[in-house]
Amino acid sequence: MVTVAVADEAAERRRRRGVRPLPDGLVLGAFLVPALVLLGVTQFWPLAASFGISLHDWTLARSPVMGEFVGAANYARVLSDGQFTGALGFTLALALGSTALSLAAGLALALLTVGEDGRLRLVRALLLFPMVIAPVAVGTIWRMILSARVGTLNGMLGALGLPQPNWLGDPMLARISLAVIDAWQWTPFVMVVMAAALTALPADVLRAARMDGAGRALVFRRITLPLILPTLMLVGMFRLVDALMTLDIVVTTTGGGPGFATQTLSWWIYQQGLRYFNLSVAAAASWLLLALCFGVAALMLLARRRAARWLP
Amino acid sequence: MAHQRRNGAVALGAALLAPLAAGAQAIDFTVMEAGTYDVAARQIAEELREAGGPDVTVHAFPWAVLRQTNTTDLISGTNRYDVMSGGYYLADVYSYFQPLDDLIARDAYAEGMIPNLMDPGRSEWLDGRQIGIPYGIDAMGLLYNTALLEEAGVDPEGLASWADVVAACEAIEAATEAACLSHPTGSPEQIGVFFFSGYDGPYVTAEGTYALEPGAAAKAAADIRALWAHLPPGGNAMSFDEAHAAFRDGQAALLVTWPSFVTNQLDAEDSPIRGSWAMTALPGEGFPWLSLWQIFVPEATADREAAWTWIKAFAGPENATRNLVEHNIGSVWAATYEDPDLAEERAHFWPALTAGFAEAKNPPLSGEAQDFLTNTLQEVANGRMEPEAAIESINAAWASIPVPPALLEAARGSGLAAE
Repeated sequence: MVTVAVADEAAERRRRRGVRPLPDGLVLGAFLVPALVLLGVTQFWPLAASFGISLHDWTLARSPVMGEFVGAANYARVLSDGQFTGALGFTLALALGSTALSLAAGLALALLTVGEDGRLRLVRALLLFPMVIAPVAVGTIWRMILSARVGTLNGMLGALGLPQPNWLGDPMLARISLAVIDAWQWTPFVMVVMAAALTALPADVLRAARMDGAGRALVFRRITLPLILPTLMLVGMFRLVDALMTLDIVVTTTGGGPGFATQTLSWWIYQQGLRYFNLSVAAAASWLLLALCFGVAALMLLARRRAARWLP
Repeated sequence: MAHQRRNGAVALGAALLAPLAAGAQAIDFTVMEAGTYDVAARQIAEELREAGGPDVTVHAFPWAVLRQTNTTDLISGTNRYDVMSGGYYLADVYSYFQPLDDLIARDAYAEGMIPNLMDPGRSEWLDGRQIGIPYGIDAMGLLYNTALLEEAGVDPEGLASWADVVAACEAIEAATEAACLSHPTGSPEQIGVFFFSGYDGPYVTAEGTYALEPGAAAKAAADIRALWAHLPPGGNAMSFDEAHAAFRDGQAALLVTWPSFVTNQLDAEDSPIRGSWAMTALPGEGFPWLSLWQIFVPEATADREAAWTWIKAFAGPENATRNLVEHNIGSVWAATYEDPDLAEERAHFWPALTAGFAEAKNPPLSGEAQDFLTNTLQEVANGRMEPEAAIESINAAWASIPVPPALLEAARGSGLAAE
């Protein structure tokens, strides 16, 4: 009431002075300008500049200034590069594998630890640890765990009389290892979000189902899963997009090897841009990665919308 | 009151001018953080400061970060650092460094250095002028366990090629319980040592493009694959520490590595292998891989004389022996290796090491060309590519990678370019 009175008073004063109030659109625009300027300087301008670079020839080591306009030549070069296409294939496999693993494990952990009991909360807090460790440290820890000769995992396998695989030296195992490491680090994220989604489920529906004699598996399949599916798909989208940009654990565990086996798109772009200074090629590849991430996100959101339509 | 204000203004002016005056003699130096070069640099910087020389601030970074820091500082024009540490892998940014030949000539600086170390292909040049001043040398070596080789009846002096090593490995594995070869296989670029020493051909064509001679290169690649069969079990992703430990603990008879990384450990009181290891020349018709730390002065460095004073203090002969003894930094000065006490104490590896210094070179490869070579060689070593196909793929990829002018100059100067 006080606010309304003050506003009325101010309007009356303006009317008496013959000042007309500013249109709402103008006021809104004035408030938006700082945010737009900030976004423009920090986001749109660098993006536009990087797009411009991707259309020119520029290797920083050869020249400190941008070279001639080459159109889509850098994009063609990137797409015809065997190392890039190999990295693209591995990145997709890594992202899908790691996302699937973290969704399955995260959901399972959420189901096991959902609830307000103090002990469950403590377990959930402890399970969050991998997510709060710096990715570089995660890679270093796993390198020590997975070392074929002196790693703790093979030490345990050896003690049990089991074969001791070369986790980081065998190309296929190195790829699988990276997916597992990435999933290990981000499973807690899935767990936290899914635990929240499970907590928000309508208790009366679940109670009614149980009263009708539905077992746990049936309740999960027919009620819980459909209700949490949109959240699961949203988390899946975040995980997938994040996994498409994996770099840290590659640097700290395999260095892209053995050979070219674990080179990801981000690794390839990092090498081109910051080690070889092929700025225009790196910019073109970055735009392709951005397009891939957008495409994946759009597909996931579309699928989520469709899934939401099927819900009861 | 006015008097107090005047005094205050004078004091303030002096305070503001003092850093400017000191700034003329202030040097920012980048160096690798390894507990060796950086520690030596800080020690010498302190001594130089006490002697009234330039005030040197030492900025130490791990190798990969150092490389990135140097290049970013140059390319972005930040120009924070006056003197930089690096090597041939900085070829992409050589144009940002200033030639130092006038200072070298003025002070006869190269007098007493290991012969030919200041030549193109060993230290760094651009447009016929020297830009890099060497201060730490190492060359890849073949270290062996004397007891295990004796048990297997292998003469280390007979290991003239990698094929000889493969044959020796079979004898070693048959006669002992040890594996044959240890090497930091987990560092993907290190595989280059086997190729550089095994391949006796050009890296650059007469037209100035990158290319390998297919037959000789495929043979060198095939030898690497044969060697990989003699690594310890699960040994194709070993870190430096793991590889060194395998040799030190007697689990492997041979070790191919940078000697300066490991010789102190092997001769330590608690080393199981102390007194029963030695070093021989790296096999092959090619060249031992050279690690030559050099100092560069960026074009933007204003106080060139102060930078040169620091270079002479840190890299000159005065502190070379102390740097070797206390920090295991390979001296670039011949006199260090003539010290009778040190020569006797290190008789089991110095002759091979110094012979390696005389032969060692840098491959004239840009980072991109070298990474592609070593990654592809890993594919061969791990059986995922045939040697011939691998060399074909390397030549195809190299065709689109330009040879930086400085490396072309180095390749021609060191006999690694086709006539």
